[in-house]
Amino acid sequence: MGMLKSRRKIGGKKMALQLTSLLDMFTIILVFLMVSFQSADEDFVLHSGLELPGSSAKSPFKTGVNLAITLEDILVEGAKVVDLEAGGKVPGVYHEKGKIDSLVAAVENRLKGLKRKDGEENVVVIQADEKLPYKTIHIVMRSAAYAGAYRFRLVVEKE
Amino acid sequence: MLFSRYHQAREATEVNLIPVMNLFVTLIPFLLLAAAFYHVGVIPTSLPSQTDETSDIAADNISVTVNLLVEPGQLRLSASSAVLDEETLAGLSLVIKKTDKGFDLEMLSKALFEIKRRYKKSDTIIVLPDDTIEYLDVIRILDSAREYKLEKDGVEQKKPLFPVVVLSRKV
Repeated sequence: MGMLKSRRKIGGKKMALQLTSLLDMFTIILVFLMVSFQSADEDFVLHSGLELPGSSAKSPFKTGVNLAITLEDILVEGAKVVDLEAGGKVPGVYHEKGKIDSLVAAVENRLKGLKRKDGEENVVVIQADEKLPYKTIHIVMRSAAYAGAYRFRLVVEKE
Repeated sequence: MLFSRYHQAREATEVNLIPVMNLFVTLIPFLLLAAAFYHVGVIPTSLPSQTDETSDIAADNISVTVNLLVEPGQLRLSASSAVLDEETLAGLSLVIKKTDKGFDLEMLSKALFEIKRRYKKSDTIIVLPDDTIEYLDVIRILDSAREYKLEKDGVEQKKPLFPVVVLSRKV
Protein backbone atom coordinates (compact mmCIF):
# COMPACT_ATOMS: atom_id res chain seq x y z
CA MET A 1 0.00 0.00 0.00
CA GLY A 2 2.80 2.27 1.00
CA MET A 3 4.58 1.30 -2.25
CA LEU A 4 1.47 2.23 -4.32
CA LYS A 5 1.24 5.58 -2.63
CA SER A 6 4.86 6.31 -3.34
CA ARG A 7 4.28 5.51 -7.04
CA ARG A 8 1.33 7.86 -7.32
CA LYS A 9 2.91 10.68 -5.42
CA ILE A 10 6.46 11.73 -5.71
CA GLY A 11 7.48 14.63 -3.56
CA GLY A 12 3.82 15.30 -2.67
CA LYS A 13 2.88 15.89 -6.38
CA LYS A 14 0.22 13.88 -8.22
CA MET A 15 1.61 11.92 -11.17
CA ALA A 16 -0.18 12.24 -14.54
CA LEU A 17 0.61 10.46 -17.79
CA GLN A 18 1.91 12.86 -20.49
CA LEU A 19 -0.42 12.19 -23.43
CA THR A 20 0.27 15.32 -25.47
CA SER A 21 3.10 13.88 -27.60
CA LEU A 22 1.14 10.65 -28.16
CA LEU A 23 -1.87 12.69 -29.22
CA ASP A 24 0.28 14.67 -31.67
CA MET A 25 1.45 11.43 -33.24
CA PHE A 26 -2.11 10.08 -33.46
CA THR A 27 -3.27 13.31 -35.11
CA ILE A 28 -0.60 12.97 -37.82
CA ILE A 29 -1.47 9.31 -38.42
CA LEU A 30 -5.17 10.18 -38.54
CA VAL A 31 -4.68 12.93 -41.11
CA PHE A 32 -2.50 10.64 -43.27
CA LEU A 33 -5.07 7.84 -43.13
CA MET A 34 -7.94 10.19 -43.91
CA VAL A 35 -6.10 11.33 -47.04
CA SER A 36 -5.56 7.69 -48.12
CA PHE A 37 -9.15 6.76 -47.26
CA GLN A 38 -11.06 5.12 -50.11
CA SER A 39 -14.77 4.67 -49.57
CA ALA A 40 -15.64 2.93 -52.86
CA ASP A 41 -15.52 -0.84 -52.66
CA GLU A 42 -14.26 -1.95 -56.07
CA ASP A 43 -14.59 -5.54 -57.21
CA PHE A 44 -10.98 -5.59 -58.32
CA VAL A 45 -7.97 -7.55 -57.13
CA LEU A 46 -4.52 -6.42 -58.19
CA HIS A 47 -2.38 -9.33 -59.40
CA SER A 48 0.81 -9.64 -57.39
CA GLY A 49 2.89 -11.17 -60.20
CA LEU A 50 3.03 -8.12 -62.43
CA GLU A 51 4.37 -4.60 -62.45
CA LEU A 52 1.91 -1.98 -63.65
CA PRO A 53 3.12 0.93 -65.80
CA GLY A 54 2.98 4.36 -64.19
CA SER A 55 0.67 6.97 -65.71
CA SER A 56 -0.86 10.38 -65.13
CA ALA A 57 -4.34 9.02 -66.03
CA LYS A 58 -7.17 10.25 -63.82
CA SER A 59 -10.17 8.45 -65.29
CA PRO A 60 -12.55 6.93 -62.74
CA PHE A 61 -12.38 3.21 -62.17
CA LYS A 62 -15.15 1.17 -63.78
CA THR A 63 -15.75 -2.47 -63.02
CA GLY A 64 -15.85 -5.14 -65.68
CA VAL A 65 -14.25 -8.47 -66.53
CA ASN A 66 -10.88 -8.56 -64.76
CA LEU A 67 -8.11 -9.74 -67.00
CA ALA A 68 -4.47 -10.00 -65.92
CA ILE A 69 -1.51 -10.50 -68.25
CA THR A 70 1.74 -11.38 -66.52
CA LEU A 71 5.02 -12.34 -68.18
CA GLU A 72 4.07 -16.02 -67.69
CA ASP A 73 0.33 -16.34 -68.20
CA ILE A 74 -3.07 -14.78 -68.89
CA LEU A 75 -5.72 -14.92 -66.17
CA VAL A 76 -9.44 -14.16 -66.24
CA GLU A 77 -10.84 -13.30 -62.78
CA GLY A 78 -7.76 -14.92 -61.22
CA ALA A 79 -8.05 -18.23 -63.11
CA LYS A 80 -5.24 -19.13 -65.49
CA VAL A 81 -6.40 -19.40 -69.09
CA VAL A 82 -3.24 -19.45 -71.22
CA ASP A 83 0.46 -20.01 -70.59
CA LEU A 84 2.78 -17.54 -72.30
CA GLU A 85 6.21 -18.14 -73.80
CA ALA A 86 9.39 -16.46 -72.55
CA GLY A 87 9.17 -12.65 -72.51
CA GLY A 88 5.38 -12.72 -72.31
CA LYS A 89 4.91 -13.79 -75.92
CA VAL A 90 1.69 -15.51 -77.01
CA PRO A 91 2.35 -18.82 -78.86
CA GLY A 92 2.43 -18.32 -82.62
CA VAL A 93 -0.53 -20.62 -83.25
CA TYR A 94 -2.87 -18.03 -81.69
CA HIS A 95 -1.51 -15.22 -83.86
CA GLU A 96 -2.28 -17.32 -86.95
CA LYS A 97 -5.88 -17.68 -85.73
CA GLY A 98 -6.07 -14.02 -84.68
CA LYS A 99 -7.53 -14.91 -81.29
CA ILE A 100 -7.05 -17.10 -78.22
CA ASP A 101 -9.99 -19.51 -78.13
CA SER A 102 -9.79 -20.36 -74.42
CA LEU A 103 -9.66 -16.65 -73.57
CA VAL A 104 -12.67 -15.89 -75.78
CA ALA A 105 -14.63 -18.65 -73.97
CA ALA A 106 -13.56 -17.46 -70.51
CA VAL A 107 -14.50 -13.82 -71.20
CA GLU A 108 -17.82 -14.89 -72.74
CA ASN A 109 -18.64 -16.96 -69.64
CA ARG A 110 -17.75 -14.09 -67.34
CA LEU A 111 -19.80 -11.58 -69.37
CA LYS A 112 -22.85 -13.83 -69.06
CA GLY A 113 -22.53 -13.74 -65.29
CA LEU A 114 -22.16 -9.96 -65.04
CA LYS A 115 -25.15 -7.87 -64.04
CA ARG A 116 -25.41 -4.78 -66.20
CA LYS A 117 -27.86 -1.91 -66.55
CA ASP A 118 -29.75 -1.47 -69.86
CA GLY A 119 -27.50 -0.07 -72.57
CA GLU A 120 -24.36 -0.53 -70.50
CA GLU A 121 -21.41 -1.72 -72.56
CA ASN A 122 -19.22 -4.71 -71.79
CA VAL A 123 -15.99 -3.51 -70.28
CA VAL A 124 -12.78 -5.47 -69.83
CA VAL A 125 -10.34 -4.24 -67.18
CA ILE A 126 -6.81 -5.17 -68.26
CA GLN A 127 -3.89 -5.20 -65.85
CA ALA A 128 -0.74 -5.97 -67.79
CA ASP A 129 2.96 -6.05 -66.96
CA GLU A 130 4.87 -3.01 -68.25
CA LYS A 131 7.48 -5.19 -69.99
CA LEU A 132 5.01 -7.06 -72.20
CA PRO A 133 5.28 -6.63 -75.97
CA TYR A 134 2.33 -4.82 -77.56
CA LYS A 135 1.64 -7.87 -79.76
CA THR A 136 0.47 -9.78 -76.66
CA ILE A 137 -1.75 -6.91 -75.44
CA HIS A 138 -3.34 -6.58 -78.86
CA ILE A 139 -4.24 -10.25 -79.30
CA VAL A 140 -5.76 -10.28 -75.80
CA MET A 141 -7.89 -7.22 -76.65
CA ARG A 142 -8.84 -8.79 -79.96
CA SER A 143 -9.91 -12.02 -78.24
CA ALA A 144 -12.02 -10.02 -75.75
CA ALA A 145 -13.64 -8.25 -78.70
CA TYR A 146 -14.52 -11.67 -80.20
CA ALA A 147 -16.26 -12.40 -76.88
CA GLY A 148 -18.33 -9.20 -77.23
CA ALA A 149 -16.34 -6.65 -75.19
CA TYR A 150 -15.13 -3.66 -77.18
CA ARG A 151 -14.39 -1.24 -74.34
CA PHE A 152 -11.21 -1.57 -72.33
CA ARG A 153 -9.76 -0.01 -69.21
CA LEU A 154 -5.98 -0.31 -69.01
CA VAL A 155 -5.04 -0.38 -65.34
CA VAL A 156 -2.07 1.82 -64.45
CA GLU A 157 -0.30 2.93 -61.31
CA LYS A 158 -1.12 6.58 -60.62
CA GLU A 159 1.95 8.79 -60.58
CA MET B 1 -3.12 34.18 -1.67
CA LEU B 2 -1.38 34.98 -4.88
CA PHE B 3 0.27 31.56 -4.93
CA SER B 4 -3.04 29.66 -4.45
CA ARG B 5 -4.69 31.57 -7.37
CA TYR B 6 -1.73 30.75 -9.61
CA HIS B 7 -1.93 27.12 -8.57
CA GLN B 8 -5.71 26.99 -9.34
CA ALA B 9 -5.18 28.52 -12.79
CA ARG B 10 -2.48 25.95 -13.57
CA GLU B 11 -4.73 23.05 -12.61
CA ALA B 12 -7.65 24.37 -14.71
CA THR B 13 -5.54 24.35 -17.92
CA GLU B 14 -4.91 20.59 -17.77
CA VAL B 15 -7.37 19.08 -20.28
CA ASN B 16 -8.53 15.51 -19.94
CA LEU B 17 -7.25 13.91 -23.13
CA ILE B 18 -8.36 10.35 -22.40
CA PRO B 19 -11.71 10.56 -24.36
CA VAL B 20 -9.88 12.06 -27.36
CA MET B 21 -7.36 9.23 -27.18
CA ASN B 22 -10.18 6.69 -27.09
CA LEU B 23 -11.72 8.25 -30.20
CA PHE B 24 -8.38 8.16 -32.03
CA VAL B 25 -7.73 4.54 -31.08
CA THR B 26 -11.16 3.60 -32.53
CA LEU B 27 -10.73 5.69 -35.70
CA ILE B 28 -7.23 4.54 -36.63
CA PRO B 29 -7.98 0.79 -37.15
CA PHE B 30 -11.09 1.72 -39.16
CA LEU B 31 -9.14 4.08 -41.41
CA LEU B 32 -6.27 1.59 -41.72
CA LEU B 33 -8.70 -0.98 -43.14
CA ALA B 34 -10.14 1.48 -45.66
CA ALA B 35 -6.85 3.13 -46.64
CA ALA B 36 -5.47 2.69 -50.17
CA PHE B 37 -1.69 2.82 -50.22
CA TYR B 38 -1.39 1.86 -53.90
CA HIS B 39 -3.35 4.20 -56.14
CA VAL B 40 -4.62 2.64 -59.32
CA GLY B 41 -6.03 4.49 -62.32
CA VAL B 42 -7.35 3.44 -65.71
CA ILE B 43 -6.94 4.55 -69.32
CA PRO B 44 -10.17 4.05 -71.29
CA THR B 45 -9.56 2.67 -74.76
CA SER B 46 -11.25 0.66 -77.48
CA LEU B 47 -10.55 -1.29 -80.62
CA PRO B 48 -11.45 0.13 -84.04
CA SER B 49 -14.87 -1.00 -85.22
CA GLN B 50 -16.69 -0.81 -88.54
CA THR B 51 -20.28 0.42 -88.77
CA ASP B 52 -22.65 0.92 -91.70
CA GLU B 53 -23.76 4.30 -90.38
CA THR B 54 -22.54 7.48 -92.07
CA SER B 55 -20.63 10.11 -90.10
CA ASP B 56 -22.85 12.36 -87.97
CA ILE B 57 -20.24 15.13 -87.74
CA ALA B 58 -21.53 18.38 -89.24
CA ALA B 59 -19.34 19.89 -91.97
CA ASP B 60 -18.85 23.14 -90.07
CA ASN B 61 -17.49 21.30 -87.03
CA ILE B 62 -14.07 20.60 -88.51
CA SER B 63 -12.30 17.89 -86.61
CA VAL B 64 -9.46 15.58 -87.46
CA THR B 65 -8.63 12.09 -86.27
CA VAL B 66 -4.96 11.72 -85.51
CA ASN B 67 -3.18 8.50 -86.46
CA LEU B 68 0.01 7.73 -84.62
CA LEU B 69 2.20 4.96 -85.93
CA VAL B 70 4.65 3.81 -83.26
CA GLU B 71 7.68 2.21 -84.91
CA PRO B 72 10.79 0.96 -83.09
CA GLY B 73 12.87 3.94 -84.33
CA GLN B 74 10.31 6.72 -84.77
CA LEU B 75 6.81 8.08 -84.28
CA ARG B 76 4.87 8.78 -87.46
CA LEU B 77 2.03 11.27 -87.02
CA SER B 78 -0.71 11.81 -89.62
CA ALA B 79 -4.28 13.06 -89.66
CA SER B 80 -7.50 12.10 -91.41
CA SER B 81 -10.73 14.02 -91.79
CA ALA B 82 -13.97 13.80 -93.77
CA VAL B 83 -13.93 17.55 -94.38
CA LEU B 84 -10.33 18.65 -94.97
CA ASP B 85 -8.51 18.26 -98.28
CA GLU B 86 -5.43 16.07 -98.73
CA GLU B 87 -3.00 18.98 -98.92
CA THR B 88 -4.09 20.37 -95.54
CA LEU B 89 -3.93 16.92 -93.99
CA ALA B 90 -0.44 16.34 -95.42
CA GLY B 91 0.65 19.53 -93.66
CA LEU B 92 -0.25 17.94 -90.33
CA SER B 93 1.98 14.90 -90.88
CA LEU B 94 5.19 14.64 -88.92
CA VAL B 95 7.94 12.09 -88.23
CA ILE B 96 9.57 12.20 -84.79
CA LYS B 97 12.82 10.24 -84.60
CA LYS B 98 13.67 8.27 -81.48
CA THR B 99 16.53 9.75 -79.44
CA ASP B 100 19.03 8.09 -77.09
CA LYS B 101 16.62 8.79 -74.23
CA GLY B 102 13.73 7.06 -76.02
CA PHE B 103 10.74 8.51 -77.84
CA ASP B 104 10.61 12.32 -77.92
CA LEU B 105 7.28 12.61 -76.13
CA GLU B 106 7.66 16.34 -75.55
CA MET B 107 7.81 16.96 -79.27
CA LEU B 108 4.84 14.64 -79.79
CA SER B 109 2.80 16.61 -77.23
CA LYS B 110 3.74 19.89 -78.91
CA ALA B 111 2.73 18.61 -82.36
CA LEU B 112 -0.60 17.30 -81.01
CA PHE B 113 -1.20 20.59 -79.17
CA GLU B 114 -0.74 22.45 -82.47
CA ILE B 115 -3.30 20.19 -84.21
CA LYS B 116 -5.71 20.61 -81.28
CA ARG B 117 -5.26 24.42 -81.37
CA ARG B 118 -6.23 24.50 -85.06
CA TYR B 119 -9.04 21.95 -84.86
CA LYS B 120 -10.53 22.31 -81.39
CA LYS B 121 -13.30 19.74 -81.90
CA SER B 122 -10.77 16.94 -82.44
CA ASP B 123 -10.56 14.45 -79.59
CA THR B 124 -9.72 11.05 -81.12
CA ILE B 125 -6.32 9.49 -81.64
CA ILE B 126 -5.71 6.10 -83.22
CA VAL B 127 -2.49 4.60 -81.90
CA LEU B 128 -0.91 1.84 -83.99
CA PRO B 129 2.11 0.42 -82.17
CA ASP B 130 4.52 -2.02 -83.74
CA ASP B 131 4.42 -5.59 -82.32
CA THR B 132 7.78 -5.18 -80.59
CA ILE B 133 6.94 -1.96 -78.70
CA GLU B 134 6.86 -2.40 -74.91
CA TYR B 135 3.54 -1.83 -73.12
CA LEU B 136 5.18 0.82 -70.89
CA ASP B 137 6.12 2.88 -73.97
CA VAL B 138 2.54 2.62 -75.25
CA ILE B 139 1.20 3.93 -71.91
CA ARG B 140 3.72 6.84 -71.93
CA ILE B 141 2.68 7.75 -75.48
CA LEU B 142 -1.00 7.67 -74.45
CA ASP B 143 -0.17 9.99 -71.51
CA SER B 144 1.52 12.46 -73.87
CA ALA B 145 -1.41 12.30 -76.27
CA ARG B 146 -4.00 12.90 -73.54
CA GLU B 147 -2.79 16.21 -72.14
CA TYR B 148 -0.23 18.92 -72.79
CA LYS B 149 1.72 20.46 -69.92
CA LEU B 150 1.94 24.19 -70.48
CA GLU B 151 3.87 26.58 -68.25
CA LYS B 152 2.21 29.99 -67.90
CA ASP B 153 3.57 32.64 -65.49
CA GLY B 154 5.56 29.96 -63.69
CA VAL B 155 2.43 27.87 -63.10
CA GLU B 156 2.05 24.48 -64.80
CA GLN B 157 -1.23 24.07 -66.65
CA LYS B 158 -2.59 20.93 -68.26
CA LYS B 159 -4.51 21.30 -71.51
CA PRO B 160 -6.55 18.33 -72.76
CA LEU B 161 -5.45 16.99 -76.15
CA PHE B 162 -6.90 13.71 -77.42
CA PRO B 163 -8.66 11.85 -74.59
CA VAL B 164 -10.43 9.33 -76.85
CA VAL B 165 -7.93 6.56 -77.57
CA VAL B 166 -8.35 3.77 -80.07
CA LEU B 167 -5.64 1.13 -79.92
CA SER B 168 -4.97 -0.81 -83.08
CA ARG B 169 -2.01 -2.61 -84.56
CA LYS B 170 0.47 -1.70 -87.27
CA VAL B 171 -0.07 -4.16 -90.13
